[in-house]
Amino acid sequence: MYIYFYKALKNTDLTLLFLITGIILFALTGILFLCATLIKRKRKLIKQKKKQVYIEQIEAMLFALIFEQLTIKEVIAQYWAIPKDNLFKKLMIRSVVSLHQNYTGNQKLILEQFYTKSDLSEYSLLKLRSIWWKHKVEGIRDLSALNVTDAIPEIRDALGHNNELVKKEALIGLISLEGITLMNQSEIDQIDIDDWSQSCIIFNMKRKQQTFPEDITYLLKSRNESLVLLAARIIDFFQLYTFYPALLQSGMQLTTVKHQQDLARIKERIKTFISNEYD
Amino acid sequence: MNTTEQLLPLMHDFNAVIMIFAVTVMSSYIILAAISTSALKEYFRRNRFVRYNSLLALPDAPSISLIAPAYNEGKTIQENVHSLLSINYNNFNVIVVNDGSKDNSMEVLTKAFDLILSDVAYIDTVPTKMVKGIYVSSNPSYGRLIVVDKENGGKADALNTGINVARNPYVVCIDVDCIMDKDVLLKLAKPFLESSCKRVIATGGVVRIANSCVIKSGKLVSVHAPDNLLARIQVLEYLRAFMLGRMAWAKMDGLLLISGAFGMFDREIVLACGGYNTQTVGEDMELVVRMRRYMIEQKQPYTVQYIPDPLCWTEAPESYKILIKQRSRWTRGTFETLLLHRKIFMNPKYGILGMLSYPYWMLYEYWAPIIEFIGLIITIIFACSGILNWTFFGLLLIFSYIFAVGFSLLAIYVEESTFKRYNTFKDLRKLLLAALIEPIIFHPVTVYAALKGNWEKIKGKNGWGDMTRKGFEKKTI
Repeated sequence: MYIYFYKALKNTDLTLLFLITGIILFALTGILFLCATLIKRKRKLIKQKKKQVYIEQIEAMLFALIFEQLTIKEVIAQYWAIPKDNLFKKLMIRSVVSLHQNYTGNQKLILEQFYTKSDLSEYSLLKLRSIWWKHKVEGIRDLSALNVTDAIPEIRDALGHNNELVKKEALIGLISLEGITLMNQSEIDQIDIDDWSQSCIIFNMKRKQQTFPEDITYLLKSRNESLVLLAARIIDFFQLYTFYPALLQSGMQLTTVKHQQDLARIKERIKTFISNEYD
Repeated sequence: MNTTEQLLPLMHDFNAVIMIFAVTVMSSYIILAAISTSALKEYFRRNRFVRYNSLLALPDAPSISLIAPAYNEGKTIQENVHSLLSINYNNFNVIVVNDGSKDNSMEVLTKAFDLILSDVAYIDTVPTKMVKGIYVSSNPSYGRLIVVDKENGGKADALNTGINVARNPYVVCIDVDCIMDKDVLLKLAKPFLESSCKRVIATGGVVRIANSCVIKSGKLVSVHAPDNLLARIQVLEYLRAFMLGRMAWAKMDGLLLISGAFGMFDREIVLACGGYNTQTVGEDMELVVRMRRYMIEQKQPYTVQYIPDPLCWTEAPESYKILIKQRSRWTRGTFETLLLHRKIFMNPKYGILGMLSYPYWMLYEYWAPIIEFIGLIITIIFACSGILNWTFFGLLLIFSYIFAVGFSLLAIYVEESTFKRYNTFKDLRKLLLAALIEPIIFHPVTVYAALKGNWEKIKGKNGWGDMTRKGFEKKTI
């Protein structure tokens, strides 16, 4: 084939034809990319402008709500009166989640009520039911962030999804909604919770100021090695002193070198902490 | 048969060879771009919903030492160290290695960061030039900072010193004049937390051009296409190299080069390999190749990862003189690395590294400018002999030009579809104009620089040469 190609190239007419075809092809492709870039830029600028307008409307509504200038009913009435597309809903949910993270007490509850009483929680549920993994992840994240406990059964179903990202998000979401006791359930036993997901779980637990059951040492005896490590990390991170003795005795069942090393590091840190306390 | 008639078949052969070379180069670019695009898509898919701040909750997040060698960086060093210290991460420290600077770098650092001599002993696991002192700050706000003052030994020697001083399992080697994204370590650390079956020995990242960008207190505030044409062309060059080239090599697990300006390494493996090679000016590429060889020879499963996010911003040369110096050094570095590791060339034991990455680098990165130059010389000879097929020559030039412009347009499109860092139409226009001009005013210079690099190598030149920095302070708001 190479020789044939070589001989063909020695034929001047064919070579010139090849070059001309190549020039036309590359020129057309270049123009295509140029047009696509310009269209994308134009769309981006239009979207930015739209976003700006939406954000102003959203902020006006949400601040009136959390500072109790308007009641939930009035804000929802305002919300229904505005013509809105999916971008508006997405931005609205993002703002509600962001405010929900930054406020405590009554304001948090008001935001949760607004989310469920408007069609926003329905919108998130539709996303959760979507066949697209991206929408599913978004839906799980929003619903769990805003404590929609009604969505728990559907989020639990997502634990069996074939996409790893959906599975992990469902796990994080469920722990966020149900707390650490969820980890005692059989479906979790099969999921390998990597370090990255573990950090997400701990981060969420911290943000939600979750309380802990009286005894979580059973997790340290799990056959799921990543779960043992997660339990150890939770005990370490939240300084659950009462579980320290059990933690120091745990880990005999671990076979993965990385898990053994990680657990040893946690134990070492706890031993140092204990010895410093006694000193 | 006269000379012209004798040369005619030779010219046909020459045309065919040139065409084959051009077509294979272009095809390889297109294939790499296609793989890169798919890898970018996959990266966005995996990281679309990632909350990087979550990692701040993990006490076991990888501990990292940022190593920044500095030589005559007095103008910018204070701002740059501030930038490094403000990175968003829990378990890290910054080790600045003053590599025997002749300017006031050490005075600036001592004054700005209240440095005092530390009594930490220096253990040279990797042999280095003499260390004069290890300094820490008396100000608790700068508790993460360590400054090492040493005799001049070059960048590789300074990095080795930093690796010796570091106690953390991972080291990030950077140029001190680079501006880092505040989430740089969170993003670099993620692959180390995700991979379980293979050991991640290194993670490379994208380096972008910071000329004309707005920098405030060592942080990148807004991104603009450079006003200087040469720097602007390098923006395109970096976009093509990092987004349409290295991304593909990483996807195929054949990445040979992690930029010396920015890369994260497993310290244990770096030490096991003997650290950076001080005898080459291409120490960044040489280390990656050596680490990979080491892992293959030790039969340990490993991987080298790559993050396409624009995390590191550096100042590009704005004058031809400095650009040529830089590029000729790159050529020498490539040559030295390829020569040192010639054993892996087409050696199936090294997998994709030996069978694809090495041959590609040799042919299309190292030999390409030389082949181009030889082609030019032969064309001139044919033209003087009156046998040059001008139609073929003209069309080949247009073909190459159109391809080059088209490829740059693809790079701009990929940037616009992914990271969108150049926000205004003005920036876009500037980049598009640069794409049109680049093959005419920039490419010949890079070919010349590569030839110069080879010539310097033949003459036995080994040093880095000075690279004067303008400094970001000019543009600081």
